[in-house]
Amino acid sequence: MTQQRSSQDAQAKPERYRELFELAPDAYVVTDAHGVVREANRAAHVLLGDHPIGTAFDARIAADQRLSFQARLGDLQAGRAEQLKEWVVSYARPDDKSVEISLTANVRRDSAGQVVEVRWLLRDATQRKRVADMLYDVAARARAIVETAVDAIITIDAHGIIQSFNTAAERMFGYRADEVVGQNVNLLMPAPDRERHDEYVTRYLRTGEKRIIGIGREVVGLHRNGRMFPIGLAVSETRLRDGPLFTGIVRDISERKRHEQRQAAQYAVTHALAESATVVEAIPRLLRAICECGGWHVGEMWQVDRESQRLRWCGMWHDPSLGAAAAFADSSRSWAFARGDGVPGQVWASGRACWLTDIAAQESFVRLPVAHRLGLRAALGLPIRQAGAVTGVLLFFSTEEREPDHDLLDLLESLGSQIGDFVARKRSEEALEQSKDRYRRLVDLSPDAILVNKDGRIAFVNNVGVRLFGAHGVDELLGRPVLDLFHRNYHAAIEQRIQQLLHGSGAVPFIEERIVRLDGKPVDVEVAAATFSDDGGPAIQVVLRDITERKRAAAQLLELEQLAQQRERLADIGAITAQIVHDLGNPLAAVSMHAQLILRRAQRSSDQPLSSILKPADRIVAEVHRLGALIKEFMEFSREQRLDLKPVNLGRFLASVVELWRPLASARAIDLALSVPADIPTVVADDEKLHRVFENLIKNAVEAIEQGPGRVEIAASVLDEERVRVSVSDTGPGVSESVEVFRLFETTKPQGSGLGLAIVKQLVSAHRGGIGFAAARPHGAIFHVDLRIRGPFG
Amino acid sequence: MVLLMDDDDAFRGALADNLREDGYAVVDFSGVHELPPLAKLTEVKAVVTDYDMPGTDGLAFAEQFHAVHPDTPIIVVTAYSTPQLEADLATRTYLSVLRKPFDYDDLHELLGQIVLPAHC
Repeated sequence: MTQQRSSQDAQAKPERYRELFELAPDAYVVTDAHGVVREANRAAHVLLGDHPIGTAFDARIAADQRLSFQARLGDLQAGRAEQLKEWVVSYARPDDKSVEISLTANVRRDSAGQVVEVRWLLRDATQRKRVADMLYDVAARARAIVETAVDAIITIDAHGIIQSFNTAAERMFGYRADEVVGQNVNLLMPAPDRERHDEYVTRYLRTGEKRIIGIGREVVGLHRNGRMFPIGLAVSETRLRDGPLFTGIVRDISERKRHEQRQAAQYAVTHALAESATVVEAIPRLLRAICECGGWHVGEMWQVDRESQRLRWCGMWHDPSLGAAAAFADSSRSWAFARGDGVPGQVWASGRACWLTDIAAQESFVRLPVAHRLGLRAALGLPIRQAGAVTGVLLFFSTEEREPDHDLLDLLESLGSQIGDFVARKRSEEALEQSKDRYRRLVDLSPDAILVNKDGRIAFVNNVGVRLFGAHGVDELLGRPVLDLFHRNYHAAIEQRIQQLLHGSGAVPFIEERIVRLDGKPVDVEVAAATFSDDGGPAIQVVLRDITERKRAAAQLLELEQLAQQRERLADIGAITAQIVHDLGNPLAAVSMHAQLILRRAQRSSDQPLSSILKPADRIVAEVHRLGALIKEFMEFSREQRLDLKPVNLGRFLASVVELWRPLASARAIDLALSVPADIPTVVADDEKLHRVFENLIKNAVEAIEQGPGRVEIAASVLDEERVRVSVSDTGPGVSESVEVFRLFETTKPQGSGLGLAIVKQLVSAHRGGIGFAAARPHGAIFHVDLRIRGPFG
Repeated sequence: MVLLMDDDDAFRGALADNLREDGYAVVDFSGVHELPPLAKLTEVKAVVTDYDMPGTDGLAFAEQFHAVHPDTPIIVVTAYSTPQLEADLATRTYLSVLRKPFDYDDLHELLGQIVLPAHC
């Protein structure tokens, strides 16, 4: 409106036009054809800082723009251009401030076409320039950011066509920007995204439903060389005037994935091991865990067989999609690799992981044909270690070629020792379990009753024990005081044994005790015990054996023995009878002869001197004595041997026996010597019976020598912990060792009854002692008697 | 002359005394070890020997003596009897047997019956 009025005014009044020019908010300058300022309004003066009228307008324009100014002015003058539009120049104000001025100019010509004046509209462009510069900077900075970004940044339009592709994208996908800009972005992705990407975009544009924009997700990228790799993709949308622009920021997350995979593998392996009670159970789980985490299709485990020093196959896992895996397993099972043989043997020998990109190129891979059938390509062999030594090998196969992945190798190698430790631990656990199991079975199968005494109570009892104690079940016995089950008479001894067990000896041998069954019936048992410690502290394992049967058998045996002895005695009686008849017959015959002689002499002449019958009468008396002695011997032999046991001091005892024989011995010039060491222990025996034993032996010795000089030596010594030996040696003619001297009626002496040594033997046997004889050097005999220190029952 | 052999001194002595009282000449031995060679014993008209002597088998001695002097009667005296002994005696008819203890008169009678004139 103002404009309209001023143009009306201008037409009407030139003066008013002039005012309007002066007061216009825009700056106007009028120059001549050469650019010399003729007029400038107030706004122009404000903008330019009072440009002096009559000076060249370009005088204050930046020097580098001045030529250009002249050129453009020339164009206007020559009519090559009718106007100049918004050309920005830098203008140096007199106050040294520089302003950016946008110049728009047109020319006024006279009728001859000559330029009369040039009218300039000046606008302060400083602000605009700054914005433009800023925009430029921003763009440059943005470009710099985009180009130097680690992440790939790709922009596409609404049709999926790539608009920009930064350096990182070039690196990541293997394309140069100029190769892909203008192409559909779907060439950067594998199926099925590749086929569907256009659809994704159009669906979004149609529905506005965001599936990825502003959310981000993990997808798979496709490298120019066909390799797929995991990427993190974030997409943002920019609405431009000519349509939406999608910016994709792509991050290669292979590394992160690998890390995750490694963690997953570590976790899976640890889990598989932890869940498995046995090695056999663990193997397939373990192999599966590693295969699934590491992208392998077949995993197998080989273990070093220590005896044969061969690697033997001990299990595998395979991807269920692999068909001929069973054949592979069969073929593997039949192999046994020596150290250094084949791939497993090489891993064993080197102790290092072995990565084969493709087994086809590996001569040492002996199972190639069957592996081929499965399509196996890459292989990885890993040592299983235990305490530094290789105890097995893990082998993994992939149906794809795979380049060595050192991170994975590191990981798997560390898993290898984890597995080795596991296997070793499990094996020992299994061995322990087996031995426990064996123990349990032993306890179960034991013909003996076994119970565990813990703090005086029954903590365990096996089935035999349940039966032995007459219980109906274990529950009737568990928790009962152990002593309740033993006969009162044995309690003190048992408690003493328990103390002995707990404080030192660890085990005590079988002794006889008596238990009381739950029904009150006593049972004779033999009991042994040993201490052990378990989680709950010390306990005593008690083994009980029912000896009722044995005792009965022993009693029966004893009976049989007695019977046999009786029979023997009967047989002896037969022999004795014959012997008595003989031995008594001779003296009686002699007595009879003498008596008949006396009788006949007396009858023949009554005046015979009495002296003539003196000799035969004397003989009769002697013979009757002989008969009496003989009868006494028989009586002794036949008398039942009851022992009256008491401690006997051997030194004193033997001295008393020897003294009895000393007068006779010295009369025959026989030296009678006794040697008993001071420390000889007291012997539990029947001293009267022993007296007869040694009296007999010494008498035999003296009689063997008959007439001295000679020597009879009685010597005592300690034989071992339980026995002492007393020997009686003589320097007589000796006895042939083939003579059964101890047999009844065996004698080498003309007047011997053959009873003496038989009696001696019987008496020594009654003491559960031993007796024997040997030839003495240079001649003579030596008899020895071994006696039990603690007596026949000690 | 009567040959008397017995290891029992008391018996042998008493028997010898009884025989001598009756006028017999007697040589007595306690065992075969004391014997001279049998062939020299031509004076012996009768033998009286014990059956069981330590170191001397009376029966064996009787057999040997009988082999040298088949016509000399032999009387075996024994204190006991076993089936074996009975069998041995039964097969040797030249032997006569007396069981200890026996009456001297029985022996005297036997000697008288067999051969010996008194005082031979």
